[in-house]
Amino acid sequence: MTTDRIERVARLNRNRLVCAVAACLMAYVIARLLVRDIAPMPDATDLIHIGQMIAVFCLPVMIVVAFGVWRRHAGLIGVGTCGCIAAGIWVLVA
Amino acid sequence: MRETLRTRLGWLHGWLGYVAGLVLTCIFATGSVAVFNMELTRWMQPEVLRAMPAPPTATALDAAARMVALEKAQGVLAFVALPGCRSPTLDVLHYNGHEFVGARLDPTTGALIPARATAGGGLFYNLHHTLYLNAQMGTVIVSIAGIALLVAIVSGVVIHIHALVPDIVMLRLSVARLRAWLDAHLLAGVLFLPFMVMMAYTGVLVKADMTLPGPPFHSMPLRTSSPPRAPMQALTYPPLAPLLAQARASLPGQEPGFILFAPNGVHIFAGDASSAFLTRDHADFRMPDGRALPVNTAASPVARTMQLMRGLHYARFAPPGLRWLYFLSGLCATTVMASGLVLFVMKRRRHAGHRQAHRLADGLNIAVIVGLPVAMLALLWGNRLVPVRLNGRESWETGIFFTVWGLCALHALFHALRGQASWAWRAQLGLAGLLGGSLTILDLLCCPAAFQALPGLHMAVDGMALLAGVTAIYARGRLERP
Repeated sequence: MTTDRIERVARLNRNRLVCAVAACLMAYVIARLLVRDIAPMPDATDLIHIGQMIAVFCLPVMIVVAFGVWRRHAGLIGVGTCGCIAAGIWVLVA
Repeated sequence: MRETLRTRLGWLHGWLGYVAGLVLTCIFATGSVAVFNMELTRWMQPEVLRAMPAPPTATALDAAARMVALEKAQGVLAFVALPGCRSPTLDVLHYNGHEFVGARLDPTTGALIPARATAGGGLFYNLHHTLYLNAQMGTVIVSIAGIALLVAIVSGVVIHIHALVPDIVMLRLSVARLRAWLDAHLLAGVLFLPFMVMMAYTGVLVKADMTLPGPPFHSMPLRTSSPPRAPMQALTYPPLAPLLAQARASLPGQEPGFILFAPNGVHIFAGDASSAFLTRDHADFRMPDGRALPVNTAASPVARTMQLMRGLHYARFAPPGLRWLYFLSGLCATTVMASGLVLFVMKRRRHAGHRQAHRLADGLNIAVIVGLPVAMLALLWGNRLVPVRLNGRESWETGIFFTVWGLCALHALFHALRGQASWAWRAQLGLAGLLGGSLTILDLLCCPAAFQALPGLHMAVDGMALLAGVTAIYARGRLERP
């Protein structure tokens, strides 16, 4: 392998790693916001459970979308937008 | 290098699958065995010869209540587990920080059965849901691994979506080794995809209070290994037999499973085997007169759904046939992960085989794929060989399990880092074959009475060990071929 190719592969792997970590963190924060949006009150056990069911379903999908759709970081931006909406709802409800 | 969705998700599937796969293989292997945790505990206590459960008599229940009161006076919070089809004895149990341990009583006479102290099947259950770590940290790590499995499944489906159906009928064991491993990974992965998704989703969901808690943003209080409680005043309880009869009437369609004792009352809980919904419905009785309090078994649809999720994951309702199906599906899911680990290392051998990181990965694979089964078999051997009356016997058994696993890991890493991983594979597979193949003989020599009293149980456990041994020897033979 040429040095140029090795460098390109290393850069690609580094970018992928950073993107994977960012996707995981972003998806986790959104999943938690989702639970809080659905169950704003601490004593609403049923709503908390519904929120958790939806969040556990969405979390892996969000990670795959945020990481997989890489062109111009469309996945990260899309998932981030969902996060902003979730945070906005949380602020409104609060 | 051209970046496509498949290459990108292939990278995520490979790396995330490998890192989480090391933990997930242990979680799925121990979880599969933990489906039979109570049966394993019965095998590991050959002094308990009773085959069929009998309804507990008033004498036995009162003996159990006296034992609970005595333990309470020593600061131990014990409860009574009633006999069921999986455990025919009346048990007085307490939580020791890792598992439920305690005395076994004859349900007819109330006499103490002098059964050996054992780590039992509870060790595998504990390893499965906390990795034998602190309850909070272990559960969070297992939940993260569960989410990683879901991510690996979604990415794996995306990269193989065009060939999901052909993969079901594609298994070419006689082609090149890499291709054969890939076929095995894909075949088992596609066939057991629903099972893996169900177990990963329900497993993460039932512990979601720790990873995705509701408001406020703090985790739920946990039962952890706390220092021994101060001795309490011994309490006397009303006769339990009438309370049990009342509880049976108040919990229609559910058989009582546990009796918990609080300072102000007695609570009789429905057994987990009653239905697929793990309800925890209970009948309460006031102390000291034993008067029944109103029972509320109503649950909202969401609560019922959560009960079903718990029931599906724990599978305590399952009759023996379904339990075997859970066990075999769990083993096949373990095969998917183990074959994924091997594939990850094989695919990189040509380019990175000389690197220490690659050799380390090879060593870790051996420690997980062969070391863990060897340690499991060593635990069963330890159960028969450690003296019955030894103090702290269950700790010795646990010690044997982790020592053997640790030694296997060291042996694998030592050889793999010197570039002789195949030697470690062969040696440990041979050891697994030896331990598994000769367990039946050891069992027959040490506990002939138990083998005669419970032949089905002993043949099942010994047979599984024999099967593991034969599989290990077969795999060793395949390794020696070019």
